[in-house]
Amino acid sequence: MTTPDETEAAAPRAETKVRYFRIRNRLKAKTAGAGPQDGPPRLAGGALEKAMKEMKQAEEDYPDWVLQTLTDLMADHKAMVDDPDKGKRHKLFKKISNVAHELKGQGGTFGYPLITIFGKSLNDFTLGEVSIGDNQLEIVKSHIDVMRAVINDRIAGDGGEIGNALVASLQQAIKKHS
Amino acid sequence: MATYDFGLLTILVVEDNGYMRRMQRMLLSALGVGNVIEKGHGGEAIEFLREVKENPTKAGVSSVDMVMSNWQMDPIDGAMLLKWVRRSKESPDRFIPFVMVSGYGDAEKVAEARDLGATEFVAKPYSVGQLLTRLMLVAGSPRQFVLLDTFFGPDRRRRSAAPPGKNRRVKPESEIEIIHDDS
Repeated sequence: MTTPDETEAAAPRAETKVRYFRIRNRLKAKTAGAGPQDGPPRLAGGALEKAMKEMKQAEEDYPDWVLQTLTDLMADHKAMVDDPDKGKRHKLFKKISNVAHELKGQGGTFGYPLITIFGKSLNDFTLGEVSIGDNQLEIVKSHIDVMRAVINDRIAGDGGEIGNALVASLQQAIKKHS
Repeated sequence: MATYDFGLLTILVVEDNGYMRRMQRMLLSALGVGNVIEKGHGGEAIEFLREVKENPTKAGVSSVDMVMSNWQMDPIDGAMLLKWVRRSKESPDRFIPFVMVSGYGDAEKVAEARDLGATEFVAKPYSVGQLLTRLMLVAGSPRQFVLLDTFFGPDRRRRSAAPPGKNRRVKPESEIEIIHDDS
């Protein structure tokens, strides 16, 4: 078949403005997918059930991984508290921002949407800050604290009243140090 | 209702976070995907895809059926990888289905991925069902590719009905060329 490269090289008709490539669906042939896509997904060999089971196991392992991540974040926070060097602080802030972005992406997948909420808040905060002083470091620490609370107490789902209280306490801490 | 078996598929997973990468591999394997290859960032993925084209024996696979890549990665992110796959002459397959995964699931980011040539977009956090739905969409509902001066990728119009108002752009037949792959 003609590829986009070849069509460029083959001196196309001068007036041609758009090319449509209607390629054979090799994936369909490989996966034997056929018919309409309505109704629940159906996989050969009970694969969906197996995946759900694996996901359940991953949800059980997830808190341990988050705790380790939060311990690392605390070490980064301490390093910033101990060393006011602007360059080092900005580097660590960027690192914390990236980790927060990952936490945001994972929490909901593993049944901890509060981690997604707090991860997003920390990610947004660290992306926006240009000056990193004591107040900014306190706000970072407040985020780490509420996430530790979520994981230590295994607060899955929205956490009900406890979840609301944690969200409120973080908002208060942000307000206090902003 | 369609029944799928992903046993013959080779999917390249590109994710810098080790935990998420292992989880994605585990989920895809559990969903029956026969071969899952992991790379830690876009640069590693490009190196691997280049090898698939130049020396498939050394790469260990003759082709990759789908790329599933995280967006935010260092030093080469998912957007740069997607651009390379779609535009580089070194790419083993410029039509390869590309699923972009991102923690930024807002409409702007989804549109940006689409304009870069992504086939599907998965927002984190996602469920097993959402991942499966994207896999089935890619496998069961292929779209034609469009080559314009400013774009190359799967047709951004999923519906056959013309969009309303200013978004409706109709080109005269003389400006359209349709290329079929009957191989």
